[in-house]
Amino acid sequence: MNAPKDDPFENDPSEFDFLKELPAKQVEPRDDFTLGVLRQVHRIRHRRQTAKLMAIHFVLAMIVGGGLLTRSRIQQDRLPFSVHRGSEATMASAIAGTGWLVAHQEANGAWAPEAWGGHARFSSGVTALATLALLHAPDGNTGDAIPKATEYLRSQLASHAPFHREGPELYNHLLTLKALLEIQNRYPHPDLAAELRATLAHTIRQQHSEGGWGYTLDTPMGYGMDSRTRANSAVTWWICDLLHDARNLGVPGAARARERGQQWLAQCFSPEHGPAYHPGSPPASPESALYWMAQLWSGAIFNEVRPADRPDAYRDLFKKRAVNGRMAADHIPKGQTPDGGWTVPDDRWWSAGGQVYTTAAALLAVAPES
Amino acid sequence: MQETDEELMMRVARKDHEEALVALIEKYRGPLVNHFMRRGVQHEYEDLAQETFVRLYKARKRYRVRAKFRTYLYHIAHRVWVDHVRKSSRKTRRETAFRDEPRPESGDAPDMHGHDVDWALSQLSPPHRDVVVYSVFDQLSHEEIAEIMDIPEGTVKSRLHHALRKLREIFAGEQP
Repeated sequence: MNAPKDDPFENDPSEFDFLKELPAKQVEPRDDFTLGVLRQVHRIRHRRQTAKLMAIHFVLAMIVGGGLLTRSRIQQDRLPFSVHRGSEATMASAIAGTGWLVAHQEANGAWAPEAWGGHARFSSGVTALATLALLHAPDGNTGDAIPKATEYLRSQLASHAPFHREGPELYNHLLTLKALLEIQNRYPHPDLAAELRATLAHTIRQQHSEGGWGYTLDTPMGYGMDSRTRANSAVTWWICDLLHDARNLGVPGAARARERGQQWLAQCFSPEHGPAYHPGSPPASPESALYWMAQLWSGAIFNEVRPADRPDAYRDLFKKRAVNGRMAADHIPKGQTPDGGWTVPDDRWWSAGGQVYTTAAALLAVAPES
Repeated sequence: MQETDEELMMRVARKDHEEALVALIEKYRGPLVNHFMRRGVQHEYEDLAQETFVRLYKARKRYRVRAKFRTYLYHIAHRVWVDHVRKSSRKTRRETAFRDEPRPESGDAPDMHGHDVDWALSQLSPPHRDVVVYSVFDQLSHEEIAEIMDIPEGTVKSRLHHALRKLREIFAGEQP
């Protein structure tokens, strides 16, 4: 179309087409471009939240005599929790359970499973689970418990770095990462981000050549020595989930590692063979956590879920997510005692995590879907 | 149905949604980086593009749905560019010199005098170059360019007219 000639400066856009036909350099932004922007955005948010809370704390300090301004930064950053959407009974149950957890936290920020029927070697995994439960507490009334637990988990993160040498440490490591990633996603902190990046980079380096991750040593949790060199779909599912949680952290190679992990999982979770720990191995039963991980992974929709034969609060964490939170709201797991905690000695993992584990997992089961 | 840029931006503005912000960044980061490069920035084009998104975030509350998102974003990019020129002019003059960089393979495209787009643009005065970049490479309308650069629409047209004349002189009738 020609431009009208009554305007001497009117140009036909096509008159510039010759420019577009010249060789033109095209620049692709760096891989961490978006992350770089988000880091700055997080800093802006952090400054804003801190300023607001500082102002509130200043006023409170004027009233009650100070002391509040010295609290840890992570606690200062806390935001209001979502309103619990369950029934009054569920709400009361969750508040009592939260109170039990808060009351039984150790001075160093950890929970001691050995004092409540579990084993001391799972202290950090149980602490991570309890922290996740408190992050989803119905009224957010958890005092200093989360900042203290965060400090403890950060100290454990460094000691877990060579987790691949210590089989039993694996679940400590995965749960610790899960909790710290949720904390980082809610209350971004550059130091924690750097620690998580380093640990996840280490985790990525453990990826097997075929795309999965595996246990590396025999563990007291029942996995055999042959797992040492074999990728395992439960571990791979976990690490893919963590890499998804860490998608905004800018971990080098994370997207590619997760993609490869997902491709490998597709071989284990194929509809023909059912959810299996390894490609081609027998399918896992609905009594197992892996079965529900696979349902989550495939996005299956359920009309009916058969109750399990044996209590397994760990499995139920995945089952709940897989059935879109239908176990939540008005479903209160069995075993709550008058003091608020859950005591379920026949739970599959009771000997590992004890009452702290069953209480934290039960709280997560009644927490609203976030 | 996919959200429009304006809907995404409203989510950022009202609810501080990071996912919506990421979607906008992912969509516009490439065009913005190349925009700054076409305007003559030799090394800092990614930094300027990042700065644009950071300012977009800071200015999210001022965004009104009646504004076209792309115009809003490029308006911010223009302010970033102006600040960059001011800052760098304290040290050196604005970068419009010939860039002696390896050129990409030209394939079958006409290679006039063996030069590329960036060389051609560098032959224009900065105001002329800016409107050509906005119009030809960013595909913005005269009205949008006027709004972004805060100049009358007639000025946009006249600058384009003179830029075209200059480019034709440079290529001395060799254009197709």
